[in-house]
Amino acid sequence: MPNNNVAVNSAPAAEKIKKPNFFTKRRDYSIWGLIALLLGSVVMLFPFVYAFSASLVSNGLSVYSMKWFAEWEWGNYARVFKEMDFLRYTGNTLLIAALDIIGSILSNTFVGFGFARYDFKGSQTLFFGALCTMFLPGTVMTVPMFLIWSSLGLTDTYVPLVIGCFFGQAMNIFLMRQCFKGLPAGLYEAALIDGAHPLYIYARIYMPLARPMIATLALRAFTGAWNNLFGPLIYITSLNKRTISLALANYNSKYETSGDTQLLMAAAVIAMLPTTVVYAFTQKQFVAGMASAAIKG
Amino acid sequence: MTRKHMRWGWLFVSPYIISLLCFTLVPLIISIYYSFTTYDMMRPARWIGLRNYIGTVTKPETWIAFRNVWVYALMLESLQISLACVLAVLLNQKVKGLSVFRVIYYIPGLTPTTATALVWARMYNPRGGVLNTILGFIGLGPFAFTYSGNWVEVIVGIVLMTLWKGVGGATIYLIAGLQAISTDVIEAADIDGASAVKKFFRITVPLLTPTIFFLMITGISGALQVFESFYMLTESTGADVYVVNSRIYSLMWGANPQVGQAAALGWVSFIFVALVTWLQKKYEKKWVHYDA
Repeated sequence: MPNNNVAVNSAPAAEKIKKPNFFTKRRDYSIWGLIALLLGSVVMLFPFVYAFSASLVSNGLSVYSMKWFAEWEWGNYARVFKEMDFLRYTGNTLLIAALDIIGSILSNTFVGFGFARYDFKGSQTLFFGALCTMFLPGTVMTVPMFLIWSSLGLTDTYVPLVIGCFFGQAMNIFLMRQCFKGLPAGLYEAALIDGAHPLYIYARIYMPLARPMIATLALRAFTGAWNNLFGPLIYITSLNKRTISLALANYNSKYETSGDTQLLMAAAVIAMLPTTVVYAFTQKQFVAGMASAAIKG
Repeated sequence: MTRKHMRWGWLFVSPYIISLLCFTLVPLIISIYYSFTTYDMMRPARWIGLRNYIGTVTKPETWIAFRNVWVYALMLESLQISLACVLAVLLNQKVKGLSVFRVIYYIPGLTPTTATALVWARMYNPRGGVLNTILGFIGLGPFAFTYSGNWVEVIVGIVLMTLWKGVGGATIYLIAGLQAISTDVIEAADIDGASAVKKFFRITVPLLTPTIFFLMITGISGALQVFESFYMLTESTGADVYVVNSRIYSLMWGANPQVGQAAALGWVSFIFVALVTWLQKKYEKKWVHYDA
């Protein structure tokens, strides 16, 4: 949409037309808009730059009065991995993320395919029920889920954290359903006439075509697992099973009082890095997939 | 295809039926049951009728928690949606390289709340934190934000961080909404000589109302369930500002678990969320235009 922010009256009737300068020149975009975006992105990037700079100071107190990028103490990062045991926590979190990704892809494509391709009795009701569960507050569910898992003796394991991904989640099912519905239905009928089994049609014909949305699923599962605090906070009690987020929450004030605040900043940078990097490489399909599904409804 | 063939659908959706039973229906029943009992996870549960609910709604802490979460949700959503509308229009211009900005605005939303809260707490620190240095430089402040004893100031601090994280995501949806608007309308307004401000409020925003409605429904019900940012930003500063989920967390996972009260508060909270969603849906027709 061309946005002519600049009110230049081009009618020749005006007696004295000022020669348009850089700001008042007629464009099909708005220069003030671009300046606003630029300023805004400085605000958006500021906390990252601050955290990075503060993670490299040699004295924890100077995160408050630092000269930006005056010191480059890379040893802080080594200390985070060694003293704060972040190598282990990274490994733990990656393990959970990997299980979540596998489970999410298997279950949500499977269920989404069922809702997209089959018009069986009750499918509408079931799908509507799935959408309704999105509005159930998480805490209403976590209280009884915690009781169930602790009666099964499975707290302090990763089972409660990952199992949900293996049976489908409403939002992801919705995304996959939209995706499969967007693919030609004729493919299904043609393959069926050729004698293909429905499972074969799903795995070999529709799955490869849904690859962009599957990438979206994987990315959602990864960021979900990497960023989750509440789950690990209530289920994980052993120190060596902690995830990155849980470790950060536990270290929240400990390193502040010990005067090593710069280590907290380095840990935060490490925690922010993976999702940011993964997104930077996959952003186009990730965003496009999510938004198109939401708009099409 | 035959009706009989359609039964294959049951096979495909079966994992989700298991999930609905095991991870939704059974927990819901358990939760309802325990909300009528007193249970500390040691001694057996004892039926006490409605006493948990009466206790919940008569406790002042409950209403402080609800007040806090409502102030938070309304502040956050009104700022986020209005800012996202402006950003969406700006980011939707046809300029080469503008997608770099989309990435920049979206990225904070993907970072863990724990990590960003650690960083923002240091920026907010009234003794030498970088935000107060900047505010002091332009002659404002000092503001204590999450270090403040004033609950509104603490919530403002949490809202600002969440806004920074969330505005990009809301913008993405609005850009998709903008791209669905036919350019004819805008071009017609251009020919009529409408100003940019007028076009924004009279054309763009009304045509975006379906997307705005979607963002409001999901955003408010999400904001009412906030936990992690309050946990992180009040834990480190010792601020005594809590929301409904923080209450449930300390009731259930605190020093002496009170399962019944936690479950009851969860249900009271759910009733509010459901009521608000229903009210929004009811008044949808008054301001949302679907006929674009």
